[in-house]
Amino acid sequence: MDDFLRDFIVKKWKIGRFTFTFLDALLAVCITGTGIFLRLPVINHTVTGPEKIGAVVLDYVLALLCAAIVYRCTAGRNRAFLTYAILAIYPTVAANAALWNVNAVYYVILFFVGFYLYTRGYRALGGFSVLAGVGIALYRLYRWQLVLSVAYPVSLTRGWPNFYEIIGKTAFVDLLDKVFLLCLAGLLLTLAYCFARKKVRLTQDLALQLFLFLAVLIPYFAPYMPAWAGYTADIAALLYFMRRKERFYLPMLHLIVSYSAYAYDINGETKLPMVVFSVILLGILVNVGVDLYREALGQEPERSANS
Amino acid sequence: MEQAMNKRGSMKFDRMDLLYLAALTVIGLAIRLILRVVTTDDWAMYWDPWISDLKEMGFSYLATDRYDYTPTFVYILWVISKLPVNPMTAYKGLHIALDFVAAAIMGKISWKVTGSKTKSIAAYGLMLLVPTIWANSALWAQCDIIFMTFLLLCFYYFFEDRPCLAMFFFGMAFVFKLQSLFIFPFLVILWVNKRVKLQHFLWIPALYFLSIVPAWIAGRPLLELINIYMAQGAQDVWSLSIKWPNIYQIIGNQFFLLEYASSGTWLILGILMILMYAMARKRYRITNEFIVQMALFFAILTPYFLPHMHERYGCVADILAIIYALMNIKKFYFPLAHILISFNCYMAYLSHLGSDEPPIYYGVWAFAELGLLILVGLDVWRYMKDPENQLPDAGKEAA
Repeated sequence: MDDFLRDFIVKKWKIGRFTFTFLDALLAVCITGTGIFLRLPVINHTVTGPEKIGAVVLDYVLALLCAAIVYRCTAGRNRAFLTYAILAIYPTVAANAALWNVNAVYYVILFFVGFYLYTRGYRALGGFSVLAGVGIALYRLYRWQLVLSVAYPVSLTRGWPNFYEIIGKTAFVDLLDKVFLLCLAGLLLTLAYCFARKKVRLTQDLALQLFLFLAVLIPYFAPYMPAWAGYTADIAALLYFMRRKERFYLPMLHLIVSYSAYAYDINGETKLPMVVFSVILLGILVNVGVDLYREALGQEPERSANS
Repeated sequence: MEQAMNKRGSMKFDRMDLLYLAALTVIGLAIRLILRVVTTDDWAMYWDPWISDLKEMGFSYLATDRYDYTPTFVYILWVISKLPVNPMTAYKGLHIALDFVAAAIMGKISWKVTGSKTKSIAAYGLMLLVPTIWANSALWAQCDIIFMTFLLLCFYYFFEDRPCLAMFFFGMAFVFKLQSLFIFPFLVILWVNKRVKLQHFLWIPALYFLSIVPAWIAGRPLLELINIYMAQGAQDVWSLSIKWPNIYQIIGNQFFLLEYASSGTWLILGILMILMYAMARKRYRITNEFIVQMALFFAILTPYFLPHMHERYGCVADILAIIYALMNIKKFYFPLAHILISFNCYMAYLSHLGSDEPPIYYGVWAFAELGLLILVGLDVWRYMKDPENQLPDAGKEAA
């Protein structure tokens, strides 16, 4: 009997092109349930309505989508499965909808749909999906600002521990918000220019690195970023780890930063000063930036001096 | 894509390059236009009253002792006082224009040292985005970009192997700001290694003397004009470090003010003497990278020990760190870290009018600056220890 059970749990089942074991199915069911039970105790912290329920459902869809992305990028079944399992109980994902009712998943999922479509070769559709996500994100940010009903914000950050936590977030708010948006635009243009000039091919690996880099960079310099501005990077860092095991610390650190930002916003305090998290984020940004540079450089062919 | 190339010197620009250059120029200009409206204490307490006096008194203002900057800078203010535009707009406009000149020189330097068009064009664009550059001219209404532009020209001509012209521009930088002397020891090392002749150094006193002649003619005593930097140094002595993260932010900047001010100056002189002695004992192959390494080392070292250093005194190291990273991409963290340190000091002053501490304690920044100093010092040391970079010493060569 023992041997039968031992064999049974690792026996491979096949449905169409999909192969799985009993153990896989068991974890899938259990982790999905765990994700639900993890959300239930905190769900009454904010009003629960159709939007929140929809967001919780989308949390799982996002987890599945990310598993699919990992499968495409790594061809690793276990890694893909692990991605779903981790994301089902990912603290920032769960807290964003169930606890906080922010429901950022409605637009964040579009970024990952875009990325997935890009990896499948549907570049225009992918780009459209990302743009739609950006549009919704900006609209929600605008609506959120209206709700706050302030003549002009008094701080350059609204909870995300970014660059402004280091240099001071309350000075020249009405000027530096535009200035740093322009600086960010300049940095992105420079990145695009260098990539175009060096004829860098956007391979799957490079696309994933670029996706993570932008997900960290943009909220780091953009003004008025809310505490959940690291949502996309949280997940992207996990996908990156699934591709590169040696970068295990990136999702770990980003998650700590991200959840601390949540905690600061919800509880009104954190155990460490927010500036510490800003420095950690800067480290992550540099680390991912160096990886991106190396990857891009790795495919650069020999060139003449005037290139 | 249409390959209609426009030749610009030895670099050819295609449509994509021009598009990028235009976009970054517009972005750089937009940043500065947004910030131009800020009136800072330095404007309200110094430049504005000086310009008002110049309007009232004309050139005879130069005979007075109401200004403690070099006369060359006051000549610029005199010209501004004659213009039929708002003085602050004219003043900031001039320095903003110089930001773009400095960015173009940075692009040329990059072209010279890397030979990469992409890097050179990106260097121009990134220079316009550097926070300490736009904050200095457009936000703070400071004038450091003038001497920094001359220093950039100085380095450009060193890379062109035209030491006389390089020293001319160093002399021009000195005419505007004493901070140019932070990197003076590296010129001595260049002289030891036969890259500069002794007569080239004459540009420094000659240009300085020429620059003070109009003010002397206007009526200000010659001795006062010669000693203007000494008088400048005697001001702002209320703290051993005026918000620059140096050694005094670690050991305490409010104690033994008079004693440490004097001892600290002697200490850095002693340190520089020892270093110059150690570096002058042998001959080295002088590469462009070694020139920048040395200059960056001294640009960080000198204000690290010199008392009464202001928030902006990292600006020389800021631009040198950019050049260093352009030459050696592995050193990318130098400009990143140094500009962050520098900009933090700017904001600590500008945002709180000097009263509050920045979010990260100055002592932490001082350790970060020390880390950079050690790293660049190690780079210099490794270069000098490498037998490939050592030339036969003077004695043996003569024999």
